Amino acid sequence: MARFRMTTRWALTLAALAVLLPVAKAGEASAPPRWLADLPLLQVLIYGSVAGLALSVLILLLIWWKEWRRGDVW
Amino acid sequence: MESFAGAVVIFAVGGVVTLATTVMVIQGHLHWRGRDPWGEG
Amino acid sequence: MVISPTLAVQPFLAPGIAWALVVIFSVLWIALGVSWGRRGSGDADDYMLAGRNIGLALSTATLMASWVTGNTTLLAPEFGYRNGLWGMFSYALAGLGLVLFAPLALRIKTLMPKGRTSGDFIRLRYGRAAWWVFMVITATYTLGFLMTQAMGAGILLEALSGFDYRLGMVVVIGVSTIYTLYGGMRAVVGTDFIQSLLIMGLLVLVAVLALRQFPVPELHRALVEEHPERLNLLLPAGLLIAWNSALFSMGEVFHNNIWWSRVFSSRASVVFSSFVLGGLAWMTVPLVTGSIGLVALAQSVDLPQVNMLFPVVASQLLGAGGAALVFVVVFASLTSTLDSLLASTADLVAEDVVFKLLNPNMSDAQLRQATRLVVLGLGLLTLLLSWPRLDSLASVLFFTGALVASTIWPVAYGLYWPSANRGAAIAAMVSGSAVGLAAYVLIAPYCAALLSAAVSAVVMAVGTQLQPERFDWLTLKEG
Repeated sequence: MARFRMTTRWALTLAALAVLLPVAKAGEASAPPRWLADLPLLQVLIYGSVAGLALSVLILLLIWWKEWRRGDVW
Repeated sequence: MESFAGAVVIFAVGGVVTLATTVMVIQGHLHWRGRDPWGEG
Repeated sequence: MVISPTLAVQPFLAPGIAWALVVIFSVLWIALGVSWGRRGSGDADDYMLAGRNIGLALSTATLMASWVTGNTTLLAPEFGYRNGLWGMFSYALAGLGLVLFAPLALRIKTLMPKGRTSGDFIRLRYGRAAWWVFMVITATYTLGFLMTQAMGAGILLEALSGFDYRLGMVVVIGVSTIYTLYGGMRAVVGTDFIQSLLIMGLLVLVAVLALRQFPVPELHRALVEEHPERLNLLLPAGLLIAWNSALFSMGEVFHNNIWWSRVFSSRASVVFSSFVLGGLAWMTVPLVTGSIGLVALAQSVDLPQVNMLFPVVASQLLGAGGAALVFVVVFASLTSTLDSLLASTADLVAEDVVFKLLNPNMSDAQLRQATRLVVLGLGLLTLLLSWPRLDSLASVLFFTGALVASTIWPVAYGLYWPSANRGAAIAAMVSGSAVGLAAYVLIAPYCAALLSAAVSAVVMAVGTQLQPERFDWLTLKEG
């Protein structure tokens, strides 16, 4: 019984170390990983969202105009 | 929790919950497509 | 490009111009609201749900306008400014709530052709006990939402134009209440259409001018040199908040009657498309306003308060004209959100509490009258609750994320699976809210909606597996 307890304790400690060491190491390695967005990504994001918003206005007006002509707005 | 590893854990859990909810809704939607909406399912 | 500190402290707009804008837009909203309210058959359904036949254009626009709150124009730039790209992504993911609600909206419209509120669904699907839990959650959230919009109105109009806090609040609540009271849902939906076009069009204008003055390559270079963390896609603070808005927004949209009343008001053929279109279009708004935050950061704009970023940048770029544009955008955002909240909450209280709970023998005309009285009462209650100014309230109210996220699974599960169990639904809402609130206090606010949704999902799924119910969908049709 005592032996079992010792083994379990060792196994638990080892398992904990196996999990915690890499995590601690990652934290210790001063700077966490970084991935800076490059210029094309930022351009797609910003120009894309402005264009998307402008397009939404146009689509909304177009749908409204079509529905208005059919008398289908309400 | 401010550590990188902690942030990755929270990010992963959030992603899993969001994905699970999305899958549940899409599954339900596809299940009822073309079926009698009042039926047993 | 650093603006002088004196300009930053003073209001951006001369009081005369601000008053002129308030009078013009107040008169316009009230006149349009009242005249649209005269259309239609004049029964309770017409007042509460605009005749249940709104087309795609108005339906999409009303979703956009209601979801663009004062926060989307003023808090989203702050998110970009403080957390960079992840701040913008996270905010934009709130559009997911609307997009994912599209399939549910279709099912609701099919199953409940005579339904009026989200409370109707919970009561018929899960019974009275679940309804009580649901009403506590929705009442807490809705009152919080009403108060943040009202206080936001007072604080913003004060900062933009030097109005006294209470004066600004009374004007915005007063105008929204008057046209909602006289025109009902028709007034809300009609004005929302114009308000959403104004908001989107003016935002495009400000963004294009900002980017012409500070093109993206220059912006990228300045950020890499001065603030590289804002571009970091692995930023820990960004990863932590990444999914928070998505889950919070699903909780808000799936349960709240603002969105259910839009489903019942719209034509069956357009509900699906309007939620998808509205959600996708909405997602561009925080990205655009967030980009304005990045421009402010790259230009090292001197800010009196971070939440004044959008007005500062706009007035720098366009002078007094820019400040006037921002004033119009903010005024439209606030009134369009408040009118929706007032109308749909009045529907919920009148239908679920006054009619179904207290007086089931009410006539149609009495129900219509009761809804109008509730609109007025809610307007006055909001005014009363927001009278003492609490600047920290907005952040405290994020705790409602813990409550609303617990309704996501009970609502969606109950719409799709006849086996969804009523006991499990109650347990899911209660346990999800409790764990979410504990996480809010003990861990961090960004964990609240996440853990609440996770726990309620597990409880709902496991409870249903253990004791499947056999729900008859026709129960919903009759309600």
